[in-house]
Amino acid sequence: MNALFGLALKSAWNRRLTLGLTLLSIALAVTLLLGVERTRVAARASFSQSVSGADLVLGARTSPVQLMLYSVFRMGGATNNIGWDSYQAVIRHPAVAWSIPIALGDSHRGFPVIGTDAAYFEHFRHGRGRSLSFAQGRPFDGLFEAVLGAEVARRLGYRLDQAITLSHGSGELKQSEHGDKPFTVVGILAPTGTPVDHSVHVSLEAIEAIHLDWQGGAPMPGVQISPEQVRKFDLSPKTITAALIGLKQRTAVFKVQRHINSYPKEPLLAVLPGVALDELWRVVAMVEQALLGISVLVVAVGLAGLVAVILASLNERRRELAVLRSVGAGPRHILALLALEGASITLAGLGLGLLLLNLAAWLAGPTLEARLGLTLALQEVSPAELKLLGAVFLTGVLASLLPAALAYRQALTDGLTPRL
Amino acid sequence: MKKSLLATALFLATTAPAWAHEHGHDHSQGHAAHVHGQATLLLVVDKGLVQATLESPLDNLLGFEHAPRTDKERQAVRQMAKALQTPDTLLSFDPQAGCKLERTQLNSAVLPASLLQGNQAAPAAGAADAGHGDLEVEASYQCQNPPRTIDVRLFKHFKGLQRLNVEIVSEKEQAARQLNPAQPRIKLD
Repeated sequence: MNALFGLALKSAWNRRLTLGLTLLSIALAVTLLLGVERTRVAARASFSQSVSGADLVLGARTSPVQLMLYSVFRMGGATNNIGWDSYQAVIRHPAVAWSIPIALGDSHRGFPVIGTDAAYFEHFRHGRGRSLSFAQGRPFDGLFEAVLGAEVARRLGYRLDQAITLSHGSGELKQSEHGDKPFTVVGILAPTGTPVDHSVHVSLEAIEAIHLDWQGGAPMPGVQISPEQVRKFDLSPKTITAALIGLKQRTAVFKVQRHINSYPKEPLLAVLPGVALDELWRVVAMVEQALLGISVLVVAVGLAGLVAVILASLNERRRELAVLRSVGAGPRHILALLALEGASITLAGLGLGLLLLNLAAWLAGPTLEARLGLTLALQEVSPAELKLLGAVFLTGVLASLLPAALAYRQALTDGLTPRL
Repeated sequence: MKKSLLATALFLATTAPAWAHEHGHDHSQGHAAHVHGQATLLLVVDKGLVQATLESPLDNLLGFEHAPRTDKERQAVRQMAKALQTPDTLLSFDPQAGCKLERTQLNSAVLPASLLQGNQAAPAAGAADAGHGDLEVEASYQCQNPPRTIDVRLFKHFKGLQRLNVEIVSEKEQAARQLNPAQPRIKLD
């Protein structure tokens, strides 16, 4: 076997250019296959880690998936807000341990502004139950104070005590600046890899305050309430967009959900985040399957290339194989030699593919994490990936048996008798 | 890539038929979704204690959705009630769990309580909207060990049931599964 391996190696070295290119194509195919799989897993993980602590998400009655997307992931817009009274009423349920109100709608230079309260910094959990921590500063306390997510501070280059102004809506219209009421940055959160990093946090009262002299989505002409005067008004919030709710006992969730969904004064919706995400994955599964299907096809192309190269080499190796036969190699040895070549190249392709993937993750990882909250860590091969790799290897070995079998059937004298 | 994936998901999710997401478990007001062939099962797994709540259009279980008028229909209701109260009709657990059915309760607004034996509660209000009727089954099981797998046996007994939307909650996780007669098993981690 050792001698055979040496022979295979030396023979392969002679054809290093074609085999090298084949190896590269298999490696790239494997990189793509594993990349798709890893992105899929990472996307799921990053989503479920963004709501790891909450048992229910409360909002206006809409589709559960949509409620999750706009309230937690800030994707798409809210269809309706819910009344502050209704919110106060339903969280009085004895099973509710804590709740975090969320008011969306304003932005700062493209980053969403979240009106919330102190519970946010105390109860919000991400990853495996980690709470928020401050890289600098402290939670907001005064009316015009803001806490920035890590990515907001990094990309805009903000520091503590910086003055910022919020924009009404998504901030595309120039006249919709809340320019008269600047906020001071009092805290910057540590990175979390969740949408929190991309958010600007202010108090619910501040959201009320900056809209006091606004009506119908625009500043009221002639009415100007200065930041000093604002404190004299009733700044208790009227509406919020959504809320995250934590329970004393997680298993009581259906009871509380039913309680909220049957709240008589306003149509409310309480969603189990885990259930809504599973529903979302069921929808996304089709797209994932398509992506996986494409990468499987690419792997098939790579392996077909391998078979083609070995098949083509049979002709140029007629002499070589015939010489081997003449010095005593049986047809079985020839079969083994060629199968060994195919298997080794597939194996090397798998290894190189893994290497390339990790290299890509290492190079692009930080950018992906910052931009999309997608953590593509250098990691060990997961069982699912191992299954994929195993399937590729097996297919490669089986495919390379085809040229091996052809060579096996070639007569002893073939290649020694000169063809005319 | 995640963004575009999600954009597609968002699109698909929002353009899915309205009933696909309307399972707010709403009883005191509003109109809960009512799709024949489908039902909802809520499962709470609290270590050894398993509580199951099945909500199904009566049509899936009976073939009709009104108060029984003939003896034959009355007999059908009795049979259904009896079947649902038999331990293995609803759910069966992996043998190591050693689960025992403790209590079953059947509620329906359109069926007389006398036919649904063991039913102490008053009929749930508002279930009989638009000529449709639902049945709610609550069952609790006590297990020696936390169950690893749960098989839904309803499909075998009620051919009218084609799809079951399951929502599972435990101390550790929340999850949703979709079961059908070919795939009736729930795996718990």
